[in-house]
Amino acid sequence: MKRIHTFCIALTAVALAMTGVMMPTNAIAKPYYEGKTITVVVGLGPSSGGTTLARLIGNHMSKNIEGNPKIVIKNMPGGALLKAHNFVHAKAPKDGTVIYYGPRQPLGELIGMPGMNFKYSDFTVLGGVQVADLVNYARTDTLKGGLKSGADLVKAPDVILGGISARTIRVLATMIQLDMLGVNFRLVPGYRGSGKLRAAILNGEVQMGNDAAHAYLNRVVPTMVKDGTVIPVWQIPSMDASGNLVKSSLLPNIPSFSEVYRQVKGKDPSGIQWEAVKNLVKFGQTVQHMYFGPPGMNEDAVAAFRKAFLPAMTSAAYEADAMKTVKYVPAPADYKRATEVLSANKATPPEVVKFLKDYVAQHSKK
Amino acid sequence: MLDALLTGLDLVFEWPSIGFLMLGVVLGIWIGAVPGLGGIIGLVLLLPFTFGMEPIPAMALLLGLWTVTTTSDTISSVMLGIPGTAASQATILDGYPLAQQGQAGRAFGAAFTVSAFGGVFGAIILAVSLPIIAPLILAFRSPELFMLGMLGLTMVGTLSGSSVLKGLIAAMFGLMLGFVGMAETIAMPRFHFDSVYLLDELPIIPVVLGLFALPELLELAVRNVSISRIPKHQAEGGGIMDGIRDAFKYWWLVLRCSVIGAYIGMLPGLGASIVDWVAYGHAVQSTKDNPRFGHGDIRGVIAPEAANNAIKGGALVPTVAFGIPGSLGTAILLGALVVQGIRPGPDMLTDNLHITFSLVWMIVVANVAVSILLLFLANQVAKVAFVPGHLIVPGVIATVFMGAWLGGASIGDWITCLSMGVIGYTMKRGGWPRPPLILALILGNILENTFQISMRVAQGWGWLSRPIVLIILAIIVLTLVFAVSGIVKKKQQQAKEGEQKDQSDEGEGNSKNPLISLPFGIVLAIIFIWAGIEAQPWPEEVKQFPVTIAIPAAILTLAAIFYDTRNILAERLLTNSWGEVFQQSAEKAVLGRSLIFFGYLIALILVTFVIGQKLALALFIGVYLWRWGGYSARISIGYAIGGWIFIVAFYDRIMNLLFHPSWLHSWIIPSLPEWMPTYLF
Repeated sequence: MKRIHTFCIALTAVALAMTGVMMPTNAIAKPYYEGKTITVVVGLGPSSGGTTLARLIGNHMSKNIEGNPKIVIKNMPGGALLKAHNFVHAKAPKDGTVIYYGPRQPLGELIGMPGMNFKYSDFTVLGGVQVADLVNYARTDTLKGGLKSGADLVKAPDVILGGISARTIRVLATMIQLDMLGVNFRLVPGYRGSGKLRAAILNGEVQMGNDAAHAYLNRVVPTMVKDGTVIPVWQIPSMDASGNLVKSSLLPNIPSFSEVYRQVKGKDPSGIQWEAVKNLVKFGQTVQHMYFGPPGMNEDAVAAFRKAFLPAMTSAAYEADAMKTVKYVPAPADYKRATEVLSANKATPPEVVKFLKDYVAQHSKK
Repeated sequence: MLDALLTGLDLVFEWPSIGFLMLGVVLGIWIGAVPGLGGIIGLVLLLPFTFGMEPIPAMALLLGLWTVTTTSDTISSVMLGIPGTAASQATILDGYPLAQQGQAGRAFGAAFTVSAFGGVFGAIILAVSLPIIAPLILAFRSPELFMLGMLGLTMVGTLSGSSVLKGLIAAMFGLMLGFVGMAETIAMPRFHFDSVYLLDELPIIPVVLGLFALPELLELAVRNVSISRIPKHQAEGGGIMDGIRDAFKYWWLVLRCSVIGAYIGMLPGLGASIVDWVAYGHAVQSTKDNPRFGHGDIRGVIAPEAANNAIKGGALVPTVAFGIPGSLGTAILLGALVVQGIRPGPDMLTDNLHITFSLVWMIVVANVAVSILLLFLANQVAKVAFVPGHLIVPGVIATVFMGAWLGGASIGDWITCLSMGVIGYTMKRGGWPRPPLILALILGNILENTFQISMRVAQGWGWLSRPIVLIILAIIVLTLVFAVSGIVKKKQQQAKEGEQKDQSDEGEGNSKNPLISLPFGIVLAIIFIWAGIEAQPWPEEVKQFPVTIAIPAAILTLAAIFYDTRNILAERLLTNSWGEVFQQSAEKAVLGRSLIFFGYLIALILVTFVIGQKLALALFIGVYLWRWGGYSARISIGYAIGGWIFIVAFYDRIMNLLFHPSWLHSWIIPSLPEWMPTYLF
């Protein structure tokens, strides 16, 4: 019994020590985030590229925000990002210690999605990140005699496109593009994650899919492009602030969809389908990742975060770390540009919204 | 190849790689042993530290941790009946009964020894199989994975418990639970009751912890017993050395299960979930002499533990050679490899084979090291089996609830955990085996997903004629035939001997209490019928699986209800009144105290809303020990303070968890002086 008493006294001493570690030190105004921890909620799984970016950028934000707060990553995948979004929207404290980083669901907001209990305009936008663009690739045995380019897809009798679902921007944009070219294709949805899709393309279960440019370069090129199993067919570019489609600097030799379209049809793409693709790119493939806080986030916290964002993401140290970690440098977009992109889906013409709704409904039934 | 093999070994033993490997091993022992943590959490915690490291030391640290968690989680499987990971479910079937018989040391001795063997044999098999690995992996498309999943379900449904009928129904219930959330191919939520939490599938960890841990802890609490039901001085044999001898005695079984583990491990997407069941099933089917599976047969520990360590090497191959991670753990490792500049691809089996071998060597060395370390520790750990249950219950409850919280940081996870605790208790006392439910929950989405992809790709049923599909189908049929013939033989033998030999309540799914089983069966029948009706308006692809499961499940459940009713009527004939039947049933299930125990847990959740988790869990520990355990105020307060320090230090300070924003946090904490560290609350 004596031992237990001694043990209890020791525990109490440790507890008291823990409460006493932070005694008042000075009364001078200190930076808002000094001594604080920022928890960055990421709506993706721990193995995702988005989480890697969150860690990478978080390290540099920690160094650049005044007071050098500790930044920790909390993965909260599920509900097609909604779990994390709803958490930050409804439950995160307003003091700037819990914020969100990662992709959004602009298509869900545009055409409706169960469980979306918020509007993106409710959030406090802190900054955005332009991550790598998308590249579509296809197996060379899709066509008898070998697929040589994206334009050859129109000659293939039956192209099987793999993806997660017709409700995701990357799959939807590719499907509309295939329709525009007149490719005879069918979607096989259900591949949850790029890894599973890559496996299905590698073993020949499906013939075509897409990946982010850096994942394509690091995981598809060495495993499938190098030995001639697949070729890249076209890239889906992002849109700059002036509304121009810009090809990825990571993929200079891969044609854009417009180039492939011109090769096949002999003219520039146009029409409602093309408008739909451009709008998907505008609000979905541009500044894909964002930092945002809960509605009504503390003004001092907002100011401190926004102030540090561009310096952190343009520093030489960040660029070097980014090259080492993800083999490219994700570009920053300040909170004004991020806010602009966030509200871009509101400016989508009604006829495009109707087209997208009908298209998704039609392909969801198939 | 030999050159690459030796160069790979050199890389592992270079300093500081070997140091980081050992650090990973030590951390992995801790992470694997605490319920609810596990390899994934460990990898996520360590990953950021590896970004600035050299490639080989970084991978040594990660692989050291990842490899050993399936060995150290044997501790909770054997001592508490909690499967640490999907790959150690089968271990509890015989490991926990052994601990209850005072033979935890023997289970540890056998498990840790075969874990080392499994890891080493798995790596050797891997090395000699390199030339055939690529065609093998590429041959497994969605149809083959679907059939493999079906094989896993057949194994678990027929092997756990004494009733195949209840095993199959439990599996179907697990499948139905797996359908909660978004459908696989169309973004349409199912059975979500307008709750955002249920838009996603039910999280596995809270379900596993609730289903297995809470009923076992309840048992310790309400019966006021130790894990071992036999006092230490009566527990003869059952030491570490006995277990090591068992491992050598059954070397042929160890070897076979290692081969099973290594090859199934290579199959991306499914291997880890079913490997222990395939190995366990193999052990059951191939054992002729005096089997006591489900009641503490050491071969029931040896088979899954050998297989689940052999799987790690196998799982690494598709990850590095094709960039195809088979699980979340290998996906994180793949990310780490890419960050380190090691690009996956066929080069890893040719030009960079030495790097692949160095990774495999890391797994081998980690497996051997953890086994030696744990064999030294096992005697001390096994002593916990004789500690009064009341001292174990509150601390483990705290780690169980924190483990449930880790994945989603949602109070919904606690509610899931508690609800599954109630279901787990009912299943355990009613003789419904729980492992089929868990495996089906894990496999449900995979089965639906692979089935629908198979149908879409083949545009019909053509995939059924694929050769490997047909081979697996034949194995499924054989498994069912063996299971049914085994039961028939057993019953014939019992009839011949004129006695009921197997009346023991020990072991998973063997309890016989029809008055507890019957209401559970009725609830299940209602759920199945309701689910079938609810699914009717949904599109074909969304309702296909739920309806296909709901109809036969409802019919089978009605059959189970019939048998339970018949058994109740038989009991009534043996007693004087219905009142006596009810009283005996309630006493057997310790119903009254069980309800109070669940009342404590409900109170824990409600109090959390007010004062937050850190204080609520500490309060629970103190109140439990004082009020329920009858310990003095000093001990209760000391234990509670210890629990609070552990939660704050480990879960808040080290793991940086987001805690529930309680009323105390929202209103009181902001008004505290600035020097007061708010993380304490």
